[in-house]
Amino acid sequence: MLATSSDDVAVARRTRRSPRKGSALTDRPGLGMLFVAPLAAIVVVLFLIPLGVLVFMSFQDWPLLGGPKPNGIANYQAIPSNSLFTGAITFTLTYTALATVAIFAVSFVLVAVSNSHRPGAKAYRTAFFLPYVVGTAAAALIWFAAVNDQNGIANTILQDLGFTKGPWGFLDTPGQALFTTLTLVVWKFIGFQVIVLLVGLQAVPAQLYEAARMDGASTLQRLRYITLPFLRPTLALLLILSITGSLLAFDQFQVLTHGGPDNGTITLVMAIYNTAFSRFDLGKAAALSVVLLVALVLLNGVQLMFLRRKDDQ
Amino acid sequence: MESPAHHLPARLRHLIGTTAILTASVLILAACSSSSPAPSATKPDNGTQLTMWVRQANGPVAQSLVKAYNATHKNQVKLTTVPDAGFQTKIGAAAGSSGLPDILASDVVYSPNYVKQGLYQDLTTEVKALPFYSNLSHAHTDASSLNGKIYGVPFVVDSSLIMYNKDLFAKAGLDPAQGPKSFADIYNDAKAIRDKVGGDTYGFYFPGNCSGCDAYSMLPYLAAAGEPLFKNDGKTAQVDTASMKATLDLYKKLYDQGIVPASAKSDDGTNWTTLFNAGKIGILPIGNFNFGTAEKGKINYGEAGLPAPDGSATSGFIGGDVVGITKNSTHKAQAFDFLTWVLGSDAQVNVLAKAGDLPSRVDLANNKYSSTNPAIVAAIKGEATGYTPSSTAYGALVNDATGPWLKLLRDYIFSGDSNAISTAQKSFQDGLNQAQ
Amino acid sequence: MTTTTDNTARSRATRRRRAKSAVAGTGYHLFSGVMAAIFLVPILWVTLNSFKTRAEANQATPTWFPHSWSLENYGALASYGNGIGVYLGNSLVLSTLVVIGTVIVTVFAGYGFARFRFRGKSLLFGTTLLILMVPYATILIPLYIVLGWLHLSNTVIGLALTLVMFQMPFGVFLMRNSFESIPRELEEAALVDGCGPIGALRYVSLRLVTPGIVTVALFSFLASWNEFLAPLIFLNDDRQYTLPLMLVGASTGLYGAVNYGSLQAGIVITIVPVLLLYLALQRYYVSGLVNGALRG
Repeated sequence: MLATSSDDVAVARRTRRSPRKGSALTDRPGLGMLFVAPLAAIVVVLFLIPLGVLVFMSFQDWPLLGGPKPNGIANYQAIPSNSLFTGAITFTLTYTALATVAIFAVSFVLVAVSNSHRPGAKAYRTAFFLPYVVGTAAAALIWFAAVNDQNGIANTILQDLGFTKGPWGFLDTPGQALFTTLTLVVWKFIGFQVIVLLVGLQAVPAQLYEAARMDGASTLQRLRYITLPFLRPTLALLLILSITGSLLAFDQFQVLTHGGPDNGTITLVMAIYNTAFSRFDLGKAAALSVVLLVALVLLNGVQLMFLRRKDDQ
Repeated sequence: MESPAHHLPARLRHLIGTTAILTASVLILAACSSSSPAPSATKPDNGTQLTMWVRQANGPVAQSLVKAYNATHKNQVKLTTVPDAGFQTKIGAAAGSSGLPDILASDVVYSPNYVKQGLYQDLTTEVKALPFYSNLSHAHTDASSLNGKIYGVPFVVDSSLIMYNKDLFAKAGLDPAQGPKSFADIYNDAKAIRDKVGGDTYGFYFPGNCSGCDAYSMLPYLAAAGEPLFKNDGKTAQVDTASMKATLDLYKKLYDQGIVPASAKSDDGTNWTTLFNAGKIGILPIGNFNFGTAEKGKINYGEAGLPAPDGSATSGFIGGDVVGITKNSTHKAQAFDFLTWVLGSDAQVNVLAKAGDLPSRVDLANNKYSSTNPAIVAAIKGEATGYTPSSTAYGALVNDATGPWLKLLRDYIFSGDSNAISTAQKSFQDGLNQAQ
Repeated sequence: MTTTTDNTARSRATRRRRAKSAVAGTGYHLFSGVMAAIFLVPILWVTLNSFKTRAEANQATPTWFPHSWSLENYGALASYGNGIGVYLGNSLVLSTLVVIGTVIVTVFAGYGFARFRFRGKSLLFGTTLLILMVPYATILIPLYIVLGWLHLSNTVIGLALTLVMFQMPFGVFLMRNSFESIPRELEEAALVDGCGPIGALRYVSLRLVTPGIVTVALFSFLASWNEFLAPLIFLNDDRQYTLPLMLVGASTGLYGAVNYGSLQAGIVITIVPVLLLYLALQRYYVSGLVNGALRG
């Protein structure tokens, strides 16, 4: 729906429509299946079967001794009374809301900067994107080294700028730890969002802006009536990615906060992870995984439906 | 040409229906991680291929043991080292999918959890039948016992203790033959060194921001005083005690009076031994693993046990690894052959002691290699009174840099928060309750 | 009269606008420069730190620039475990396998989804996207069981296939959209000219989707290069370990001590190859996203 140049738009519009009848290619379903066969094989063997095992696990009491025993929906029923899980659910939702807002807010600023035609804009864009190539674990380790109370450079910067007297204690309280992790997440992931938004912006036909300016539309009005409508599918895609990614957050907390202090920054996936890997309660871990998966599917399904309905209007 | 996707729902149904059978067979299949599938209770050394995992920190020691065993036996052990930070995860995943190796060595502080989760096979009969059973480092067998049954034996043993610089003692007018024997000694000796030698030389050192290091070097004070951090099989926390207060007061006094260098506050363990091995520290609570480095630095050192505050007893934190046979192994007899060999005097003396490591048998303290260094002999003998804090929540409460142990140290010693002990008592007990 | 006033007014406005834009330009670069610096500082700091002596990297008052440049931290890594060369090599092999596998699977599937109609098409596409939503850490245990069943556990191939799978949702999505953005008429013309469908794909479309392929390749490379959990769980032979496993192992010492110098040297070694790769492919990468990700 969005493309770079108007030529492309026209071409894309024509070819985007679902396969037409009588095409030399589309009428050979066997060939199509052959093309997707490797993908289908991997999906079935390495995804659906393990997923089946996971679902199976979730209905079992799965200790290490004695082998699994079916226990119906007991694992699911135990979720509301498990304080580790309920705490993690609350925290993950809070984190998801904050992270999404922060990423969107900052990315708009950075997009405004990089979308300029001034010389140097490209260099800025590259700078914003570079952290994205750093792995999440490596990025979290950079933060880990930078914010520690003893020789972390972040404290030195704060002190040199006169904000604090001693070390600020980036990981001292759950609130501070969450804030610190948010700065990491914004730094690490925003490049992708900026690039995608830029690409979306470039697809807005320049004539529209010109026309609007002739009609005396203000900057805000242009934003409201031209930019945003054109960006809506892009924004929706980014929203889905951001929410899904945040609800599945793991590495950044595992490396940076270890879930602390006082278990204050344990995400859902971390809770699942600890239940599976250090408490060896595979049944309960699987049950929570299934719940999370279903929630994500529903959430994304609703978002997509909403998106599609608006599209058809 | 049929698409696999076409039959997807049918396959899925079929799949879920047969998952139970499938999983059962997978469990059996995956259990056969070793080459010979036939359960072989017959000969212990019959050329079986055994697998073994160890954490990376103890990889070199394990490597030398395995090499010596493979060279002299038909059985062959294949060793894999696992990064310490990923150890728990790897064990968890392997346990969940029945992919554990035959032999698993794990950090002694984590072994109570693994025993409780049923990772190891019961070795009570076999271990008790060993002729040298009563001489084994009991801290290790205790940590890997549950309800009177033994699931593991010592593999790598190290012990915390005090090292002191004899030359600095002499310079300060102290008796180099007499290491500190009580908290009063520690304070007076350290102060004398700081006062009389001075300059860039300090009396005492501890890494103020390394939870694991300080647990290793401070918890034995409490154990020697009869008030170990955990009691009741790790169900009860003993933080708010007289010995804890005495310990923290001592460290605070040493730090506040400048007997400890100011840089200690921020040391996360990286510089634990740096200054001592450069001859700039009088007294350092550390482990026997520093003997070799200190000798290389030509430090003339003495050794002492970590004392109770009043000096009535000493103790040491027995660290290292416990080794056992996992429940996935079908080669118990062969795997136990390896364990017996490791504990035998040949391996203990000619591999471990020769390399400067501690044998895990007290009766081998005066072997030909260790006896050249009285400090090592003392450390081996110390295994008899040694102590390992046993709790399934050890990692979260003590080792973790965000846990309550490090917070207690820093709040009390560096921030002067006198309520820190009672706060920590509560956090520890909460943590233990949560782990139950 | 009116025109003159108008003109003067206009020229004054132009001048004002120009002056304003000069101020705005300075403001723009000031602001953007600071933002860019914020994004680059962490990487720069880690790089500088890695060249400090071990003592300086760990000292209490952190320094910006090394007082004395040193390769001590890199030296420590070079001799760590089986030697850093082994881990670099393993990472390279694994990432290459994953890139090749991902590109083959997603190019074919993307083409199939974009050009053909067949039963179960949306079901398969939807199921592939589902992979994104499953909690990664938990599916690894069942996956490990299944790999064992296929006799692929503890093999680099099994690990690579797993990582390919996790790259498929993004890759297929991007490739499908890339193919859809190419006029079908081009291929049909090729068909008329006597090329088979494979020939049409090979000679016509593949060239046009190169940016998309490069993007998929880059992303799968990034992901497998940085992956820690899957190699940790799936590999039982330490001679097959990859860079991230070594990085974690080398930076943690006995009793929870952290060696910041080695840690940061390890991070730099991990980052530099992907950074160079990204900069080299940046041009393709952006246009790959243009044609792929945004034509939902």
